Amino acid sequence: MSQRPCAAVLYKWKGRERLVDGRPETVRRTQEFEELYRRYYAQVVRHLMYLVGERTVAEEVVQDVFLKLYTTPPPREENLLGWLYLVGSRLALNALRGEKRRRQREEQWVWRHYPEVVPLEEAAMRQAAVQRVRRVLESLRPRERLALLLRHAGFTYREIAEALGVAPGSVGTILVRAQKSFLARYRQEEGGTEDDLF
Amino acid sequence: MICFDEGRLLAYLDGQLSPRESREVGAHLAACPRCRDVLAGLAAAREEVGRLLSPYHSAALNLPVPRPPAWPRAAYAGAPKTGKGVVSWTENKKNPPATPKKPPKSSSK
Repeated sequence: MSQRPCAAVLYKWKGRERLVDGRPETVRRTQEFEELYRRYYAQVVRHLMYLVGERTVAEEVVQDVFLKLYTTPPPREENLLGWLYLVGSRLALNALRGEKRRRQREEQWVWRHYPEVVPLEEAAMRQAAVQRVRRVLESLRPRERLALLLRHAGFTYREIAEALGVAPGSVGTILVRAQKSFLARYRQEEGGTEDDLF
Repeated sequence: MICFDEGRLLAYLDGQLSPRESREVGAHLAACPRCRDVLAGLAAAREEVGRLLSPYHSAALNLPVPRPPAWPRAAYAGAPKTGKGVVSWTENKKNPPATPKKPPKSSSK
C-alpha cells in the first residue's frame, strides 16, 4: 500500500493500530491536533477578524483553517503560525468574495444609512473611527483590501502574493490602486457622514 | 531614460525590492525629478493609509476571543484520504527535517 490511510480510516482499524507511547497512534495525533487548535485559535481568529471585519465570518473561516491543518498540514513545521495566517488569508479572501456579493444584495444600503444596526459586539470595534475604516474597507475590492491590511500588519510582498495568488511583482501595483481607492472612499465616507446628519 | 511604474516605486518604499533593483531605482530617482514627485505622492498616501488603519488594526488585535468551541468530531470523519494527511506535529518539532533550510531569498542582504 503506497498511501497512508488518514486518521478517520485508522479509527475504524483501531484494533490493529500501531501503538505509540502505549496509545493508539490516531488518538495521540488527534490530541496533538486539538492542542494546536486550542493554542493558536485566538491568534488566528484575531487575524481573520482583522481581515474580514466581522466576527461571525471570522469564526466560520477559522474552522476551515484548522480543517486544512488537519487534512493537509504543511510539510514541515517551521513556522506553523505563519502557515495558519497564510491559509487564513487565502480563505478570508474567498469568504470576502462570497460575502461581498451577498452583502451588496442585502445589506449595503442598511450599512450606509444605519451604521448603528451593524452587529458589532466589541466596544473597541464600535469606535467611530474604527467603524468608518471598516465601512471603507467593506467598499474595496477584496483583493485590494487584503493587500492593504496584510501590508499594514507587516507581511512581505512575497507573502501577500502567496495569499492573493498573484505574482510577487504585481503586489506593488495592487497596493498602489488599493491606497488610492482606500483614500478616495475614506474622503467620500467623511463627506457622506456629514450629509447623513441632514 | 525609462521611468519605473508606480508599483515598482511603492515596492521600493516598502523595502521589498532586491538589493540590485533597489539600487537601480535609487539611481534613477536621483536623476529623475518626475519619479521623485510620484514617489513623494505614494509615500504620503502610504503614510495616511497607515495612520487610518492603525486604530482598526489594534482594535482587531485586542479583541477578546472566547475559548475555542470543541473541535467537531465530524470534521475528522470528513477528512479526505490523502497520503500526507496526518503528520505528527510534536514529532516534527523534536526531530526537524534533516534537509538544510534554504536561506531566504532577497530581502536580507
